[in-house]
Amino acid sequence: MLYAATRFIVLQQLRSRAYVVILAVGVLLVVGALALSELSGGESARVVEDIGLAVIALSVSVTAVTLALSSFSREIATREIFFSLVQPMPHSVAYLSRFLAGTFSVLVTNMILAGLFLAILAAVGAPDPLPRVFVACMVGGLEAIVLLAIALFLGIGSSLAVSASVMTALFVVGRLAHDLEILVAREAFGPTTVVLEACLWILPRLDRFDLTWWAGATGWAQAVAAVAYGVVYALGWVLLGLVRIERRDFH
Amino acid sequence: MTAVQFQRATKEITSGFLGRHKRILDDVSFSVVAGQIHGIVGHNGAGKSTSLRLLTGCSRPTSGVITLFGESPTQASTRRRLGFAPDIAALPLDLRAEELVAFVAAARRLERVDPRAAVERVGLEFRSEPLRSYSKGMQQRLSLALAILGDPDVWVLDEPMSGLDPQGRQLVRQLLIEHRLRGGTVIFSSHSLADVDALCEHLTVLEKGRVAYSGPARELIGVAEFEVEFVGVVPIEGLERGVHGSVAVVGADGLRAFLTRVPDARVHSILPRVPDLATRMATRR
Repeated sequence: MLYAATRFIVLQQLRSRAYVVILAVGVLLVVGALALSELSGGESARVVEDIGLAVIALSVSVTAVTLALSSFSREIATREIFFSLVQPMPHSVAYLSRFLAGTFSVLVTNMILAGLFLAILAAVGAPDPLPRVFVACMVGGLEAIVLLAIALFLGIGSSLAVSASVMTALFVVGRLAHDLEILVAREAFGPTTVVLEACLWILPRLDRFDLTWWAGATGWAQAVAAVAYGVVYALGWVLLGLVRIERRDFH
Repeated sequence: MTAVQFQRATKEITSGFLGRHKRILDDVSFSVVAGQIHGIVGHNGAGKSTSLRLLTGCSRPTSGVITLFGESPTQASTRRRLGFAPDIAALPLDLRAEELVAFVAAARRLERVDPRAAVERVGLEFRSEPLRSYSKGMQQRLSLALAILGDPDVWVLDEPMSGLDPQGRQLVRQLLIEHRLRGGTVIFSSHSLADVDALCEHLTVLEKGRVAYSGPARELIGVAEFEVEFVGVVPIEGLERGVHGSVAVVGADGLRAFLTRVPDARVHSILPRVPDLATRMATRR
């Protein structure tokens, strides 16, 4: 049942206009990095690398959040969710299938963009880009999966607008988490520092998945630590989502 | 044998920013006998769709008990005996009909399902295009085809005739009658008195979340003191309730239509609406 449901959702996601548009824009921007590199004055490989990695990180994250919101929030809002649930399908299977399908689609996007990126880097003569791009894309893919897990959790009980707003805020704050951590360490916020310290435990630490940083300083130990954090954090949200979906009443 | 039973079912939901409680169903009790066509009628907001969704197990009653063949509809094994078509045919529009049929067949563990036959059963032409290109009526038909795929014992259909053309309505009526003749059970909601009269042996009338009437359709008409003179029994196919020349079709039990001679055309104008009948009967009691 889980396999059939996941396959069905993957088909839906890859056929959706939103997915195709995001992927097309991502491809255009990665290729666009090549045009910009012409203006770099001898630093073309570096410019392509920086822009390409930023585009991949953004495209994959946007894909994850869009698929999650269109998977659950929209399905609940339009009552399309009944089509799956009445087959019958346990709520937990419906939820897990959407997470697995989203993960698969995110990885497909990541691989397409990374493959294109590698080809462009080879074309501009970047020195041995494969290991760095591989680690960077793996870690970046995990960032997207973390966002997917949070967005799916929010989609169970919140409207599309609320989920999208919260996800945007979390993306920005999560990316700035390292700076927030420094400020908290300096006790820059006075008595509210304790609250912010607690928030740092709950917030997604998206700074740990910074692709441009990984591309420049590939250390396997850090990569493994980031992957472990991403897996545990995403699974935590998935488990919370499973508890929540079982209690959800689709009236 | 009782196929479906509502015992003092109440459903409350919270709505709005402040989480205000709203009671949609209030102490609803009725039962549906296996092998019958049971209609649920009522005005908008009466609780028809909520009642049907409770049967699917996707929603649970706040209090009371709902059973499907004596068991809770939340159990997967019980729910497999039920096919549900919602009031709005909300289907994944980027996919093709055959892909939806394949998914439903896999989810219900059906073997050897022919997508073309499944689609053509509801009068749809088989086409290999995304559902986005289908009209509302075509999506409604496909939703029905998916609900009845594999012929589950109980068909629960929320306003199955809405959005259909006259031929489509006739085809759906025919499908419901055929299922009933095979011993299956049908529960459907409708605003259309013609559909309910033409098909249902039993009715449940909901008003503001409460049961105003539940029982034989004939009895409801009888209580309203509607005089009919039965002069013949004819196949129901092709007949609409109303006056046809000097003959009026005044009712049906799902398999037959009852006719009466009409001295003048006034019969047509005094045909009462079912919810009004229920109100009148409740007052008498």
